[in-house]
Amino acid sequence: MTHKLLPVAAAILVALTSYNVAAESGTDVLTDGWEVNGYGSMNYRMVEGETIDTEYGKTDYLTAGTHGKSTNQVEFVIKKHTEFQNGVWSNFVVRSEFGNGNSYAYTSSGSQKENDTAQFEVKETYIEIGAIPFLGQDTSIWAGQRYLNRAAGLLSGEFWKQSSGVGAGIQTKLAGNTAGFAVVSADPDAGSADSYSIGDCEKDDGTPSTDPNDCKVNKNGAAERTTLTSADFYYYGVEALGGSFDFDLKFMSQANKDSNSDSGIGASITYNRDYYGLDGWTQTAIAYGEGVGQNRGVNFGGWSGGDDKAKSIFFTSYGVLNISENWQMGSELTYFAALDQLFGADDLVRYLAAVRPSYKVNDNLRLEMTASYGHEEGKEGYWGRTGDSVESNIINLEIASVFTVNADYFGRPQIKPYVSYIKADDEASADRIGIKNGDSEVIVGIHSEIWF
Amino acid sequence: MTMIKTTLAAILAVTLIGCASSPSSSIEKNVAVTKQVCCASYSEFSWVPMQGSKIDFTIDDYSQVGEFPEGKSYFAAFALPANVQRMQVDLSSWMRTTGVLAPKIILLNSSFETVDVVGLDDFEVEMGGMFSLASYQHRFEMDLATTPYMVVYSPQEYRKGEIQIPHPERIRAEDLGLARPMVTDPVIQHQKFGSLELGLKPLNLRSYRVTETVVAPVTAIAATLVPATAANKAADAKMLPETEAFYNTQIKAAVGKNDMHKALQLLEEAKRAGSSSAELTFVELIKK
Repeated sequence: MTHKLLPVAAAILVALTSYNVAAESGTDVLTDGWEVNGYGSMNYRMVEGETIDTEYGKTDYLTAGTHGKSTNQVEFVIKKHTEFQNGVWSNFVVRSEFGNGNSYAYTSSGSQKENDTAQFEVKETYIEIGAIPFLGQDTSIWAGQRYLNRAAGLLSGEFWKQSSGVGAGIQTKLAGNTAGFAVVSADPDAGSADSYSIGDCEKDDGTPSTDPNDCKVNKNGAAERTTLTSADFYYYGVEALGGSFDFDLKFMSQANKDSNSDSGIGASITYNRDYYGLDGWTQTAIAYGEGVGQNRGVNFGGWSGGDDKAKSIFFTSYGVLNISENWQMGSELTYFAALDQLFGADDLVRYLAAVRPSYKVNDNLRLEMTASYGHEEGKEGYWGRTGDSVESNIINLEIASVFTVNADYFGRPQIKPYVSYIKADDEASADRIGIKNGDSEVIVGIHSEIWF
Repeated sequence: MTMIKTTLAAILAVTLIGCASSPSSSIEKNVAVTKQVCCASYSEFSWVPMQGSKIDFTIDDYSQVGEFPEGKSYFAAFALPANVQRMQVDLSSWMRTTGVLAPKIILLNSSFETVDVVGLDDFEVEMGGMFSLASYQHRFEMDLATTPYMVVYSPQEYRKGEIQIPHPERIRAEDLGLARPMVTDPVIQHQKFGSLELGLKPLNLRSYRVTETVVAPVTAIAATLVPATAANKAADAKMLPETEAFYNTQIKAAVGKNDMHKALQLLEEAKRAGSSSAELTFVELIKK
């Protein structure tokens, strides 16, 4: 009786405790959900009573103020993160953007559809899957459109490292550090308009005509594709010298180009640590690039390209020093120069030194002061520049007050009125960065931002 | 243009004046609980049935105050409804600028003994989005047989603390590969009060036979039959000897008829009602 009853009782006990229990399998979803985040940036800039289209050489490391473009930029990011019973996880990311680079003050008539190239754009859309059992807990694979491993200067705001385009990759842990491989492609002419040419000009009777209205217009279609591709190898997080090192190596190629401009290489070493031994953080990097990879070596995207003569060296170091509870100071030192040619200019040299002390008055108010010195020069005659245009020295001083609200539901909005003063060493240099009159400019503006 | 410049000059001037006269004192937070405790034991708590898919609730001055191992705290208490066997529960405690309740969960069995404790370390910090605040979040399961009761409170040690969450500008910068911006990450103070939410997803529903007498919600059973806390149980919450004997007889009869299903049901029922001898009786019968 005992031997018979025990298994029976056990079976019944199991049946009782597990009845209604749904079968659980490895593909059961444990966590699932959509996250929606966004960002808005509205920069109202005025000079002498008009809005302006220039960024005063900010993209060329000549200034570091707040006077960037984008009168009305809005971003929405949608992420779907799913975790499964067997430990596998997946991410789906869509990052959309409207108005990045707009400089007009738009009105309510719907004129955003005119005179502008920055419209609704999908900046990233990719899927990432990780911890697949046969690949390992620390391995993930991705595919789609994204900007992989981006880094930008603190005060210049310029991206110096990324692989932006459509591609796929794999990332894992090797010796405790992050290691990855990816292939990313970008078309420089993606989205460019068809080209047209004027054909024969003749009257109805076939005789030649000088009246433009009699000319035919030929549609030549889009230019031949010159797709760029980069094969990225990276190894991040190597602990040494009181910080961590990141290594990047990129082999680039471009389709339908001559043999002297169809390939390139780029490499960089990045060192992350505290603020040169003090409280804070810094990121210091050195990069080399040649050929297609001439743009800071590791800054790959639709803008890449170059021939055998294109060789450059890039150095940057930026970070934030925490001085006291209320005082912080950001700084950036960047040097970007040709070893032979850069962007077609012989001996091109650019550098920027900038600091930004910031004082937190209270939770709702912060004061920011920015000072920068930018320099650019090249061999006489580069890009057709001669005389005063050959060398540019630009000083930029800015004061801004940042009003912010610790709103907890719809993110954290801030409104930042600023006055920026830009002084060039001569009128030719001033003209090079978009100053219309004289050698200096005062820009007043209000930059409002919200993160939610 | 002159007007714009004048306006900006005025704004900057106001800013500077603001700096000069800015108040820097912060409001002293008060996490002391002075209100009297409601109950002598967990069994005397008032329980809210966990019905629906979501329960928004606040722990505030109107909430009950209980005596916990760490001292007094405001709390909210919930009980599984009788028709749910297993429930997946997501507890979120919302971080507002005014503060957040740093939660601690205790799961109790039908005798109001602590079965499981979920401390703040077990919670994840979820960042906010367009439609939600940042929060402390934890997912756990409750079972009608083992953990039918749940209490949320915040011990004094937690209430003194605070949490720094990343500024959304920093999160965006990390996503975009921008340099870390010069912003101060907001600090959210732990408070004795807070807004919370329970996300409820029944995993197994509980069915019963029409002949089954105990179908009322667990809360009802608790109010009438179940002894109080572990400490009090032996002293003043013992099952009547007559009831004890009744259950034992019924279990014997069921085993005698080889009706193990009924025997086990009786055993469960007896245990829930506080019987100390039913399990022994059952085991002895099985051994024979």
